[in-house]
Amino acid sequence: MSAFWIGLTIGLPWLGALALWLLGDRRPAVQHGLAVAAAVAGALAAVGLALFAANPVPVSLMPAALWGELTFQPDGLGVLLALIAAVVGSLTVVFSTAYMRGEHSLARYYALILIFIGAMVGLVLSASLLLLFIFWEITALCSYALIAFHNDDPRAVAAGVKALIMTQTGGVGLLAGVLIIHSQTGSYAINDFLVQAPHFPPGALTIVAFAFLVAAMAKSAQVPFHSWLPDAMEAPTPVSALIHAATLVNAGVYLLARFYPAFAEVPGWKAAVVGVGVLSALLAGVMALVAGDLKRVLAYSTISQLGYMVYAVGTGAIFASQFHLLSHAVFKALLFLAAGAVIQATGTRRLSELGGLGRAMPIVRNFFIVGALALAGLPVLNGFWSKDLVLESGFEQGPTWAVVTMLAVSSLTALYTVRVVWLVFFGRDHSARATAEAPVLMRVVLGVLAGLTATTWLAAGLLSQRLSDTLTGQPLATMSTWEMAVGLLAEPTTYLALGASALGLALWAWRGRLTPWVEKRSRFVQRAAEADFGFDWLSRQPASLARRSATWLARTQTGQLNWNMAGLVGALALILTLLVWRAR
Amino acid sequence: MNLSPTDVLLAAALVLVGLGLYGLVTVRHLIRILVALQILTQGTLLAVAAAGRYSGRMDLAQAMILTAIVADTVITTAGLALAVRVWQSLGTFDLADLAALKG
Amino acid sequence: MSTPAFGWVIALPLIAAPGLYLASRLSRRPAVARWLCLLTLAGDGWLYFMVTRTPGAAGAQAFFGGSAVMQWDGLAQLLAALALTLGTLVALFSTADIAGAPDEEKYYALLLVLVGVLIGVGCARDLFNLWIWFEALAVSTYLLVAFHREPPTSLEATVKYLVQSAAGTSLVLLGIALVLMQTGTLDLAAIPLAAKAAGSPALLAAGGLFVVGLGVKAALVPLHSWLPDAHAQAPSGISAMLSGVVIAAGLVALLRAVAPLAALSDLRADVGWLFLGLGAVNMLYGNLLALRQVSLKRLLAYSSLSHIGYVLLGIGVALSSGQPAGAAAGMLHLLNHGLMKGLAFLSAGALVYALQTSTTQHASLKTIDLAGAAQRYPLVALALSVALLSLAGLPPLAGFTSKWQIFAAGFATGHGTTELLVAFAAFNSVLSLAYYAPVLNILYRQQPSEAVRAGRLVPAVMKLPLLALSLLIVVVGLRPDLLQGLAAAAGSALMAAIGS
Repeated sequence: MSAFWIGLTIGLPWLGALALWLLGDRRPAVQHGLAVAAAVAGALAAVGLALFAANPVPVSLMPAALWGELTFQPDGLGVLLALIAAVVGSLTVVFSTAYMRGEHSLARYYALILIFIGAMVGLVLSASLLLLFIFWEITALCSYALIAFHNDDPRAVAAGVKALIMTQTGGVGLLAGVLIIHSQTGSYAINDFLVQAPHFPPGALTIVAFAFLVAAMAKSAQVPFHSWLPDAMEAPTPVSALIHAATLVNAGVYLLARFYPAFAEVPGWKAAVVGVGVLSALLAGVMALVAGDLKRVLAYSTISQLGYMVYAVGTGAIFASQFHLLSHAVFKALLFLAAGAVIQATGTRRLSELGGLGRAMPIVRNFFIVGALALAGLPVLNGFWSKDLVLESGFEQGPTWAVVTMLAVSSLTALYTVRVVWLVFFGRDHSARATAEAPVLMRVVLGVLAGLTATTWLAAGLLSQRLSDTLTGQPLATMSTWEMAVGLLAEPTTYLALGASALGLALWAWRGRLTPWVEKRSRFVQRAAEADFGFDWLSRQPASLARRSATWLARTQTGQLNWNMAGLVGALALILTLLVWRAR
Repeated sequence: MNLSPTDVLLAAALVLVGLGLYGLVTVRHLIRILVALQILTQGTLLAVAAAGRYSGRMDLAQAMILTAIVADTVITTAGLALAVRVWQSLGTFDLADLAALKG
Repeated sequence: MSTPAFGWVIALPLIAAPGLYLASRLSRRPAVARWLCLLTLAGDGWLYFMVTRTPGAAGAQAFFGGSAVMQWDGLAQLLAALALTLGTLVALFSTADIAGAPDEEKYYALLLVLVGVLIGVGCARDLFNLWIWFEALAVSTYLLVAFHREPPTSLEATVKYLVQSAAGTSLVLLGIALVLMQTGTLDLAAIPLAAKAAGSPALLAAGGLFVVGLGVKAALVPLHSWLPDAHAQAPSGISAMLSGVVIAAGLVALLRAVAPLAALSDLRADVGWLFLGLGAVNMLYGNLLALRQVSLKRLLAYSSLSHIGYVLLGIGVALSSGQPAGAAAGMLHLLNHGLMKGLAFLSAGALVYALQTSTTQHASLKTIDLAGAAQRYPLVALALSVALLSLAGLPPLAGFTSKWQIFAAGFATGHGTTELLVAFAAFNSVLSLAYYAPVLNILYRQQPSEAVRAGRLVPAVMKLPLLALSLLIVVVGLRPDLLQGLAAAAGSALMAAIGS
C-alpha cells in the first residue's frame, strides 16, 4: 500500500520532468501547465501517503535493482518532510508560472525542479543508507544546476559551482560514515545501524557521528560551511524559496534528527551540535542585520533559523526541531516568494533601492509582514509556537549559556526582520519603481502560504503523536496541541522570548538615537559581518590553493621530450631504489 | 673476480642501456634521439642474449631477439618517417622547436 | 580444431585489415573500407558472444605448434569486450568524422589491427607474447595518432609518444631478460614457482622495469607526459580508443607482468602499497592539471590520468589487504571509464566536427567555444553532459557505481591508512567537479559563441554511437549488476594470477 503512494510521490514529478524534457521549449503554456500538473499530483500523492500509508514498516520497490533493495520507510519523520517538499514544491511551481513568464529554457527549469522534488522525497523516505546517499547527491546536482540556471551570468555560475563543491565536500563525510557503517554491520539498512550502534567500536562510532555532522553542516549551511547559501541567491527566487529555504537545507537537520539515537551517547557530539547551532544562529543573525541585499538577508536568516533547529537536536528536543522545521519551511517560503514578487516588480534586490513599496503593493506587503511576524516569533503564528518550544526544551535539557544566547538571537531576529520590512515597504519612497501589484496567481500562492503560517502549529499534537509512534528510540513526548500551547504559555522562557523580540522591535524604533552610539563602537563588528566574518575568504582558500598548486605543477609538463624522458629515467631510478631498499 | 664471457656481455648490455637513456635525456636532435633509442634497444637485446646464456634457454632468447629486431625496425622506420615529416613541416630537427604543447 | 575458438576473435580483425585496405584501394571507393570495417567488427562481436557462451573456450590454448600460448580468462574477456564495443562505435563515428581525409582506408585497416591487437594483449600467457602484442599495440597507435599529418602539433605529439613508448618497451624487454636469467622461463604461470627457488633482487629489478616500461602506456605519473598531447591531437575516434581502451590494455599488461612477481609470498602487500601510492599521485596530478586546461580534449586527457588513479586504488586495496572486492571494483571502473571517456571524446569529437570548418585545427577546440552548444546540438550536449557527470561520479550513472565499490572495498579493510586514502580519493572526486561543472554551464548558455553560430550539422551516424553509449552509461548506473559478472571475473583472474 505505502509502496504505491511512495511510488506516486516520487514518480509523478519525475514523469513530469521526463515529459517536459521530451517536449522541449516550443510551447511555454503547455510547459507551465505540465509542470504544475506534475507538481500538484506529487503533492496530492504525498498527502495520500500521509493519510493512508504512513507506517514505519520498510517497503521495497524493485528489489535487487540497485545493489540489493530500494527500501523506503514512510515513518512520521520522513512523511512530514516529504509532505513539506511536495506541497511547498507545488506552490513554488505554481508561483513560477507567473514569475518565469517569458523566460527561456523553461524545460530545463521545470524538469530540474521536479527531479529535485522527487529526489528530496526519496531522501527523507529512504530506509537504506546507500539510497539516502544517492538522493543526497541528486539533490546537490539539481541545486547546482538551478543556482546556475542563468548560465550566462558568471556570478550565478560561480555561486552554483561553489555550492556544489562545498556541499559535496561535506558529502564526503556522509560517504565515509555510510561506508564505515557498512563495513561494521554488513548492511546498508538504517534500522540495522540504529539497532547495532551501541555495539560499535567507540572509535568508529565517533568518526561516523562527526562525519555525519560535517555533512549535515555543509548541507544545512551551518557555520563554518555556510558561505555558499548567500551566494546561492543568484538562483531564480522560486528556487531560493523551495530549495534553499524549505527543503534542501533541511536535509542536514533531517540527517541529525534521524541518527540522533545512534550518536547521542558519543562523547562531545551533542555539545558540538549545540555549539554549531548556536554559533550559526548568532553569526548569521548579525550578518542578516548588515546585509544590503533583500535575498541575502533572507538567506542569512535561514542559516540562523536552521541554527535553532540544529541547536534543538543537540539538546535532544527532536520534536521541537522538526516542529520548527515545519514552521520555518512555510514562513520562509512565504517570505522568499513575496520577496520574489517585489524583485520582479522593481527589478532590483538591493535594499538601498527599495522602499515605500507598501503603497504600491499592499497585498504583498501584508503577506510579507505575516511571514515576518512568524519569523520574529510574535504570538499566534506558527513561528512563535515552534521557536518557544525550541527555547523551552533547550532550557530544560540543554546548557544555560546556549539558551541565553539563543534568546539574544531572538532579539536580533526581530531586529533584522523589522529592518527589512521597513526598508522594503516603508521608509524612503521608491515606490515609483514598482510597476504594479503582483499578479493574481502570485498573490494566491502567497495567501495560501500565509494561511499555512497561521495554522500549521495546530497540527502539533498530531505531529508529535505520529513522530513518537514511528520513531523508536527517540526521546519524544507526546502532547496534544492544547497541552503544548498551555504548557508554553506557562513557561517563563516564552515570556523571555517575547521580551527579547519586543526588545528587538524597540531597538529599531529607537534607531535614530542609538545609531551614532552603536556605529562608533561596532564598526569593526559591522565590517566583519559584511565580510562574512572571514568565512567566505576561508571557503575560497582551498580553491585558490588548488589553482596555485595546479599552476606550479603544470611546469612539469614542459612539452620538451628530454624533460619527459628525464621523468621516465627518474621514475626508474626511484622505483629501483625503493626495491633495493626493500630487498635489504 | 672471475668474469665469464656472459658477465661481460651483461655488463656491456647495461652500459649500452645506460648510454641510451643518457642520450634520450640530453640529446636535442631528433635523428640522434632515434639513434639513442637504438642504442637502448640494442643494449636490451644483448641483455636478452646474456640471459639466454645464463639460463640455458638460448632458443627462447634467440626467438625473442629476432622478433625484437623486427619490431624495432618497424618502430625505427616509423620514427624516421615521422622525422621526415617533421623536417618537411617545420624545417628543423631541434627538439626545442617541438615543444609547442605545454601545460 | 587446431585453432580454438577464441583465437579467431583476435585473428579476424588482423586478417581482415590488409584485405580491407587492398579492396578499398583497388576499388578506389572509401565506402568499401568503411563497410568492411564495420562488418568485420560486427562479426568479431558475434564471435565474442559465441566464445563467451561456451565455457570450454576458456583456459590456455596453444597455437603454432606450442610456441605461443594464449589464455582466455576474465581479464582477457573484459579487455575484449571493451575493445570491441568501443571499436565498433568509433568505427561508426569515424565514417563521418574522417570522411574525405587522405588515406582514409589506412585508418580503418589500422583500427581493425588495433582492436585485434588489444584483444591479443589481454590473452597473452607469457612475457614474450605479451611483449609482442604490446609492441604491435604501440605501432598501430603511432600511426593512428599521426593520422592528421598536416598540423605540426600532431607530429610533435606523435614524436614524443613514439620515443617515450619505445623507450618503455625496451625497458620491458630488459626486465624480461632479467626474469629469463633468474628463472629460465617466461610463462606467467610458471614464473612464481621458479622464482621461489631463485633469489629476489634481479626479479625485483625486473618488476620495477615492468612498472616503468608498461607504466608509460598505462598512464602512470610521471611516465604520462606524452598522454595529454597524444590524446588531444589524435583524431577524435582514436582519442576515444586511446583513453578508453589502450591505457586499460597497458594497465592490464602491467598487472599481468607484475602479478607473478607479486605472487612471491611477502611481496604482495608491498606491491599493493606501491599501487596505492601511484594511484594517489595519479589522482591528484590528473585533477589539478585538468583544472588549468582551456582545451576540451586536453582536459579529458588529464581526467584519464586521475581515473587510472582510482583503478590503481581499487587494485592496491585488493593486493595490500587481500580484499578481492577491490580488484573487481577496480576492473569495473576500468570498464566504466572506457565507456564514459569514450563517450566524452566522441561527443567532443562531434563538437569539433561541427564547430571547426577545417580538420587542421581540430585539437584547439576550447571549452569557451562551446558556449550555447546545447541549443544547436541538444543531443551531443546531453551526451557530453552524461559523460562528464558520470566521470564526476554522480548517481545514478555508471561512474558512481564503480567509484562507490572501490571506496566500499577500501573501507571494508578497516585499515586506517587505506581508509584515509579512500577519503582522499573521495575528495579528489569532488575536486574533479570543479572542472567538469563549468563545462556543463558553458554548454547550456543562452548566448551561443561565434563557433556555435557558424557551426554545421552533426550527421546521424555520429549521433548514433553517442546515443548508444549514453544509454549504456545510464543503464549500467541503474543496474550495475549487468557488468558485475565481467568485472568480477576479471578481478578474480587477477587475484588468481597473484596466487591468493
